Amino acid sequence: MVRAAASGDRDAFAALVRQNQSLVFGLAWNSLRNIAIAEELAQDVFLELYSALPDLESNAHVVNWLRRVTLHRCIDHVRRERNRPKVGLDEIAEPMAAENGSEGDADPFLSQRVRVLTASLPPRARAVLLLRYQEELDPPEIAEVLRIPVNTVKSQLHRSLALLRSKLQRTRVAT
Amino acid sequence: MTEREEEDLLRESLRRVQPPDGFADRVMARLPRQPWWSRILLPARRAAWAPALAILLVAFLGAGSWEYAQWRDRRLRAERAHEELVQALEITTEKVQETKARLFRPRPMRGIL
Repeated sequence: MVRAAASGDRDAFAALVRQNQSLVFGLAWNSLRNIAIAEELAQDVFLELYSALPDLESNAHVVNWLRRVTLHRCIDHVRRERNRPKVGLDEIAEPMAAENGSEGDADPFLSQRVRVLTASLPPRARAVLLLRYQEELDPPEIAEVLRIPVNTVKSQLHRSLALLRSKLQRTRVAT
Repeated sequence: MTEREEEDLLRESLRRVQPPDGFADRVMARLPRQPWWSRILLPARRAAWAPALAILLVAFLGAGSWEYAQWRDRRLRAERAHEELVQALEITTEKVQETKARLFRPRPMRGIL
């Protein structure tokens, strides 16, 4: 499919988009918590993919490329937006269904709190956490995607989890 | 909450999410239209074309520069031969002039007085 899409087959490219849209949009949405911005960023990433296809060999290569580029675009976006007025993360509505269509067994309030807290982490730590729990990658794989040392990944994961744990604890005590 | 429960909660909360309906169509609508000739020189095959094109270009430039060197060499030899010919003609003309001058030099008349 990658070869066909790279050779200008638009149907193959559309199939490639459909196959990977939940990955790209999921990373953007979980990172930015804004549907409009997440969709625009995801579209931009796929347009960029279209130009980069001649350099990509396989589906695995495409998936890896999409993860890296999406997260870097998210990090850039967060850094750019830092100085602009912000909307409270708690005020943002939840978007659409998860990939499998079910909401799962987790407490919806707790899940929402985890998403909000994740989105409040520094951009790099957020990217590491999303690759670990959305994409279920191991630290060496995360290091490869983000091109950072494995030890940095491990320490960021450790710090982020400790931070989330303490904030969740506070939330529980408050409720 | 155990560590396992905590990880499950994170996995559950940070799942992949489907974008709003029609996402792929909106992406496709933003794709640039390709001109017909770019479908022949396909981007995917660009990588395969590139080395062949580079080899062809190097061969063409090599043959061109070799031909130019040959032409320049021939021209220099021709110029040198031309100069030598001109020089030889000048020398010959000079000698002819000298001989002519010697032959036709007026001689003093002897034995008249």
